[in-house]
Amino acid sequence: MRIRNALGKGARKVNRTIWFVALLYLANLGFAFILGGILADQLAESLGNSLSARRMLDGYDDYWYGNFNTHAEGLADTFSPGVAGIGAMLGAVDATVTGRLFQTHPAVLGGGIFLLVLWTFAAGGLLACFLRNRPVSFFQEGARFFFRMAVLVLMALFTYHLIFHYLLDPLLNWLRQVNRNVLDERMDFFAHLFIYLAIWLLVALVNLIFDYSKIITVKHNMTMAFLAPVKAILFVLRHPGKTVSLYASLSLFWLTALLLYWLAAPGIGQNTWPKIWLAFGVGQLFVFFRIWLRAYFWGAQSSLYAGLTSARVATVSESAPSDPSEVGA
Amino acid sequence: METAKESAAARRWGQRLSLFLLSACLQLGLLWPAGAQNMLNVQPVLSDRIANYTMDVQLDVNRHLLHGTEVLTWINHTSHATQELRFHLYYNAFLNDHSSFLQTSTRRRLNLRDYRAGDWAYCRVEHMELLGGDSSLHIDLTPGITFIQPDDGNPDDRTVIRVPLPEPVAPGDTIRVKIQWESKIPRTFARTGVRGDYYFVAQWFPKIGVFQQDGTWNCHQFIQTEFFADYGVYDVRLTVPTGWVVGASGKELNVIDNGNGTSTHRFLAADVHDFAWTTSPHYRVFTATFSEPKLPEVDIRLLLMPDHLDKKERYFQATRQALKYYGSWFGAYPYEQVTVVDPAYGSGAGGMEYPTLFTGGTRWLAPPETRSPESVTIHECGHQFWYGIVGNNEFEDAWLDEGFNTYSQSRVMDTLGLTRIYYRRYFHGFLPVVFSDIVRRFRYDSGDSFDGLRSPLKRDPMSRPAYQGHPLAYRINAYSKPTLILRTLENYLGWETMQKIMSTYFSRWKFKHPRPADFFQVVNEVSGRDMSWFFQQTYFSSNVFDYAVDQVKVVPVRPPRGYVDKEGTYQFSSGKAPADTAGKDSLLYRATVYLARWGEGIFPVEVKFTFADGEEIQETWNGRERWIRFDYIRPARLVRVEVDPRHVLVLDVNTVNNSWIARAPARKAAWKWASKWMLWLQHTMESFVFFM
Repeated sequence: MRIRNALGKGARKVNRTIWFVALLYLANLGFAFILGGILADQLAESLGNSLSARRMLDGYDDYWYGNFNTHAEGLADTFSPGVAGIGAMLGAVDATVTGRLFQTHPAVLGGGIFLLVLWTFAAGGLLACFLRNRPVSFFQEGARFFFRMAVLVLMALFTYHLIFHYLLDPLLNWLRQVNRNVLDERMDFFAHLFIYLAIWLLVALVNLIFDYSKIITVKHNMTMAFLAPVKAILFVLRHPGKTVSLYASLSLFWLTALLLYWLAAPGIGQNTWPKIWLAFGVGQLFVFFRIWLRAYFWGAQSSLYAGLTSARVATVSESAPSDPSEVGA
Repeated sequence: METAKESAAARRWGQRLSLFLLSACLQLGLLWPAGAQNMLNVQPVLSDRIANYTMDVQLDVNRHLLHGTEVLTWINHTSHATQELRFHLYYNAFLNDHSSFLQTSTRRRLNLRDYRAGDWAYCRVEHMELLGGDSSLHIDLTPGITFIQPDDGNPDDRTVIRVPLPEPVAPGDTIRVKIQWESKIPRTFARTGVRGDYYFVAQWFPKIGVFQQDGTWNCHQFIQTEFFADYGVYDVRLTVPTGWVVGASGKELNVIDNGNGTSTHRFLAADVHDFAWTTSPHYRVFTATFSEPKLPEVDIRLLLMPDHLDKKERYFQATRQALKYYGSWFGAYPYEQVTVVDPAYGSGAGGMEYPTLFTGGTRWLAPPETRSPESVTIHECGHQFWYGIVGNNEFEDAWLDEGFNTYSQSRVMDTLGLTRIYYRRYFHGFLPVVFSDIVRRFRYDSGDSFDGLRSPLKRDPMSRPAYQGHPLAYRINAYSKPTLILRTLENYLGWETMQKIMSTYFSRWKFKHPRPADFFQVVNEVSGRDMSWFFQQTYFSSNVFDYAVDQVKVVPVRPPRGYVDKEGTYQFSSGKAPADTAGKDSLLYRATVYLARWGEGIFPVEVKFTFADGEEIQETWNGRERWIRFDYIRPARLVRVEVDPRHVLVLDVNTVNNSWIARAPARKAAWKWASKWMLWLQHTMESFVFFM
């Protein structure tokens, strides 16, 4: 099966389950609205009847932010003007890349874990929809595979923890020692870049393996889900070019979208409700795309898996003797 | 016995004679070798030249050691005799973690585990002798050297020594002391040290303290402040590996190749109170000239690291602007040269001032909006004026240079339109992203001075000597608060008066050691007003200023409810307006406004009231009472109240409560920003999903 076919089929599969993807998006949005509402109350209270309210509406008021930030505690402490424009995205990307994502505010961590659990449920449902050639219930399949998916998610989290805690951190410490006398920032930058590229190649590989682990668990209805990664590794090793190329293509989509959003991300110039919500809407398009892309990874990968395994079955059956009598006694 | 007495008397007499001759020679400028002498001859004497050093220093790059011999020629310029000398051995602040410097709470946060065995430092006096006219009169002072801890009594602190003298140095007398010493250069602490083959060497030699007019030594331990020394002439020979670039205070006279892989660079710096230098094989050297009508030309020597070559013009431009504005506002830069050092990455040497030399600092990726290196260059170049030329005591009155300079820097930045744009650095700080539509304002420091002003402000009044100040209050009282005091003063008196004050203070105190009272006196004298009330609150107390709009009530004026006098009889009135006047233009509104003074500080403030029909009323409140009420009856509603609308009192710790507007769009603004924060939250939460 060609990569292009997998991408095409994957997109069609995801679009067939678009409502479930939308559901995942709404869960994200809903949680964000709850916390956003709390923050909005705090901001509004701080702005009060002051001129700062006008200034913050028309743009930004550093006087006010200095005051707000001095007294900010809890959720309010996570607010900064750096959330504007591409900053909203870059802050999250930076925390992810550098492995600091789980060191965030408890409420945000709670939201992240909530989505993780939700996606654990959705994984079984979505993959069943992608892999079965007959209509299936997203919710039934999600429930059926939930614990198996949870096992895989926990295994994945444990593996990432090993990578970030026992590989990245020591590597960065080592780099700090090695570079303790480096006088050119470029050298330090490229050394960091090299380490992160190596780490993230490994992270991507683990991600790839756990994607196929989920696919294999659902496809073959494996009860012993913890063995699925072994099968996934064998599958990837059998088809390294195609699995990696597909993953790289999907990652490229993500990077392209990120760059496009960088260009399109609204700044801080909105001062009317329509403009505020329009800017919010543009941001939401990108959030939705991101969620869709997560599903698309599984859609395309499950198509590739199905295509490659069915071809192998076909090849095996073609080469196998159709008549037992052909096999010598 | 008799012979010994006679001998001692003869020695004393000999010492006195030699001191007299020495003093005469110094005054006549005969003590300096030919090259230095030639240069000194053409330079006007700008200072008292109390502490003068001739040094010969070898750098051992393998062991990061400095071997030095210095001859200190010191004049007792006071009316008191002294029978001891005191010296700073600053490098001993990095001797071990029991030093007072490393025991302060702010420094305990340093990751000292990163400091290996060879990274610590010391300054050891190997030999010290009093020089007489001939070698037979040399007196060994070494046995008498003791470490003292005048500030905190910490016996583990070895940053100050006391050296008893066999005879008192009488007022006006000059002595010569020869010191042999060894300094181990640290991995950078407090912006001095080594990283790889990059050296920035400051506070590195045994340096005499300041003998004050009251007959006491001002020679504080090195704990949390910067420095203080007398002016003098430094004639320094620095021997470093051949081919290495050297930058130092003063001007380079010559370089001699010693033929053994080392070269000796000779620098002469006159009328300065410190000497710092740097060397590395990696520097690229560029030169330019500062030239401005009515100001003397200055040669700018820029030592640039290879990863910052694209910042060359930005460094030059910022230096020129600082020399131009400081020079024209306060007084001309009097030296022929200034050396700008671009510190190496990770060297920790950036953003520091030394006489005729300063370190800037920038990053490999630093878009113009980050104002790097502009901001730090203007600031450190500005220190040539406030610190270098006007040499206040930084141990005790740190604000007289840091505050003055931050204020002056902010004026230059404002004049040049170098607004602060919000930016963030991602990926371990390597990648800057500029948020060009977010303009930051009202920060007169590079850090979070304005935020920090609120909480630690009340810890110490500024009048508390800086070396005694709370570690968390040091930065506030040295930088932020004095900057805001000076800015408030400027807003109150006007720039023209303020400029006169600053230039008068500069010209009166250049090459001297002013105290805060000297500045206050200049303020009163030049402004023609007694501003004691202002300094009493801002300098001598830790009170804060906070004026606010407390309550605003706007209601239509209606007829009274109750009995009203109608044609001589009391008749009941319902309090309702006649039906035909409802909603008409004839309706009047009563506005009642309460202003409050939440802080202890008192300052007269303007108040501006704006009505819906565009009418504006300006009032002045002397700000003394805790609150004041204003009442207006106008044909239009009151829509805006502003306390201190021109933002004169920038010391006000909360400017958000200074205003009130009708129908403030707080909720809309809050949701605008909350919606952006939600996007951040959504992406952050969604990032968790990647790891499944």
